[in-house]
Amino acid sequence: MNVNIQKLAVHMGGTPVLENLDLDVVDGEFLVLLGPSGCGKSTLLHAIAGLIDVAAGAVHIGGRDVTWADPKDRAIGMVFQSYALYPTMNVERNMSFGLRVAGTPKAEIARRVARASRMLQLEPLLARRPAQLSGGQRQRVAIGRALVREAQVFLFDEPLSNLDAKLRTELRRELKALHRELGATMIYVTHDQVEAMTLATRVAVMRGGRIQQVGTPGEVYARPANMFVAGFLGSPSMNFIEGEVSPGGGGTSVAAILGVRPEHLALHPAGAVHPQAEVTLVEAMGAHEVVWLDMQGQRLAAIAPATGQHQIGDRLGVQMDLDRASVFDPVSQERIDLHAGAFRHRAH
Amino acid sequence: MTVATSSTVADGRDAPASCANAPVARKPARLPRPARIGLYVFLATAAIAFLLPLYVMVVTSIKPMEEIRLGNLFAWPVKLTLAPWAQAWTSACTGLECGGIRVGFMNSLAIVVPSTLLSILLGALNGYALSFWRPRGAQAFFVVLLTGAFIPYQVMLFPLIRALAALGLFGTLPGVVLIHTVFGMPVMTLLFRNYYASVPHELFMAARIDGGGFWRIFVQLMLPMSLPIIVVAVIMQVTAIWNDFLIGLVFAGHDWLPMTVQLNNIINTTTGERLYNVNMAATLLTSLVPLTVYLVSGRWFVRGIAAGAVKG
Repeated sequence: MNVNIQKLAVHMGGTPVLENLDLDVVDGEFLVLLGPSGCGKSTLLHAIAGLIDVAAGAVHIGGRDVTWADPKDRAIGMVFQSYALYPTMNVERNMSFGLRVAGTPKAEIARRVARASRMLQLEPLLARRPAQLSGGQRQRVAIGRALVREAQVFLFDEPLSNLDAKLRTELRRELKALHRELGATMIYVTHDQVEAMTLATRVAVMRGGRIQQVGTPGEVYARPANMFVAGFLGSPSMNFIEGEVSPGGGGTSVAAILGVRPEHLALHPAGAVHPQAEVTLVEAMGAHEVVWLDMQGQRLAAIAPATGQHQIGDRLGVQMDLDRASVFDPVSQERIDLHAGAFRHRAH
Repeated sequence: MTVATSSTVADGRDAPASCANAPVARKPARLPRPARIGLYVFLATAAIAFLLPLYVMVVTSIKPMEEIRLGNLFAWPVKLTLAPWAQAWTSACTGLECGGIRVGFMNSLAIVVPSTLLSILLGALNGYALSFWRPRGAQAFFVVLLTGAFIPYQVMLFPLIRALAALGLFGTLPGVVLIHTVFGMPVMTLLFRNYYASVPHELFMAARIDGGGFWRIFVQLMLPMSLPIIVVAVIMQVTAIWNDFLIGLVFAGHDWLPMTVQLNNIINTTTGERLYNVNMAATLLTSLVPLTVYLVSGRWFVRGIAAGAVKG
């Protein structure tokens, strides 16, 4: 089912959290809402779920206006960061609670619980209480609860944030497989860019209650709409270099900022034609290393193969892959669609 | 335990020389001897001050009157007798009626059981609604309710008498139960509101998505989770209502006087000689219920308070 949000506004205690927000989620899509804490991404998810009142605008799920519908009537299932399992009920009753409320026949409940627990490998745990489960198992039960409801739209509110790194990677893979198997629409809130890049078919980057950019992970990473999106994705984050461009090719030049990802900087021995920079720090990452450079007072990060040959104090030539760089307006911080070849470094 | 473990770990490791003098958690230093002795003397004195009256009461209640007349207050009974207990229970006189204190016991039971159940149920419901549903004006309502807890009963006594009389409930069992329930509301609401405040809000949201309504979430989810705090509430309400004198005296009317009021009447009724042993037995009988509640549920009480204080 597709989810369609028009001119949505949400106020909390009088202050607007979301205003005039539009978003279209296509049927079967895995949309990740990505942004720093307090950017309104959870609020947006709660508004879709019907857990908070909206001040203006409309929410449609599967073409039906559900702006004022009860959460249970929206064909949604939700998974929370704190798992939110019912502590006094065992796994089986946790998963079947919604169906029992709806008065579903016993045989049907049993069938759906059996199917969900098979998909999530919860069969041996059905009689246990949430307190007797590990974090990963708890979150699988929470996912099972949404599965049993046969939700058409799955909402995830930072579901992996409470898990340790290893489990997080594991469950991330399981979620991806689950999405492929079910083909249901999923909307996933996170502040973790790795989760966003790996899970999403499309990412919506949010800041201050506004969606900054929506696109495939590749698009958002390669062609960020503004400097916030550019800086939020990627680790280490994008290098920003002040300078100017001449849009007309020659004529008058205007101030601009060049954005280059660390992996698009190539390091050459000093003496080549490229601008020179001094190594200030080398961080070994195993497969590669992050080389921090000082280029005439400008700090740069470059990702290089882990050769171990870069030493602090070395002088190197820096070559930028301008075909893959972005140009931004220094005032509005918006992307300027120009080839970075037109860019000149201020010091030159 | 933690202290011991951490210091073992610190000792066991090959600490670099620079860290050898780093502060390591140590056992707190013991008090110097004289101070310790003083502490124990004080504690013992306090314990005697509390236990001595109890001892005198118990001893007196199992002595025949002949021994009491000798005036040896602390003496162990020469001839043990349970007759005063039987008399206090079945035939002690309050004014002209001589039915013993068991009439009051039954009355108190009839008052305590419904009052406790009702006030806890309504308090839990209030706390639940205030914590999770947050109706418009909930905060103001809560402040007003709490203010009610600080107004002395005496101020409300006369208006309440008039109100109950108008309702036809003055001097009846439902009347007393109603008053106890209403007066229990501020503290019960506060207790449950704070307990539910420690329950993650996401749990409530999950239940809403599963289609739970106001009552279903309360009955099937929140009440079963509230067992520790319900035990605390039961202890508070049972002891408070059982020990009540004022409300029982004013509102219960002649037929439903609680045990405390009856005890007072028994002790103030004298036909010739003052029966100290019977009075003591009646007093002990009256205090038996709160005492039992504490003994049976002490463990739960502590657990409930701790559960509320740390997390839900």
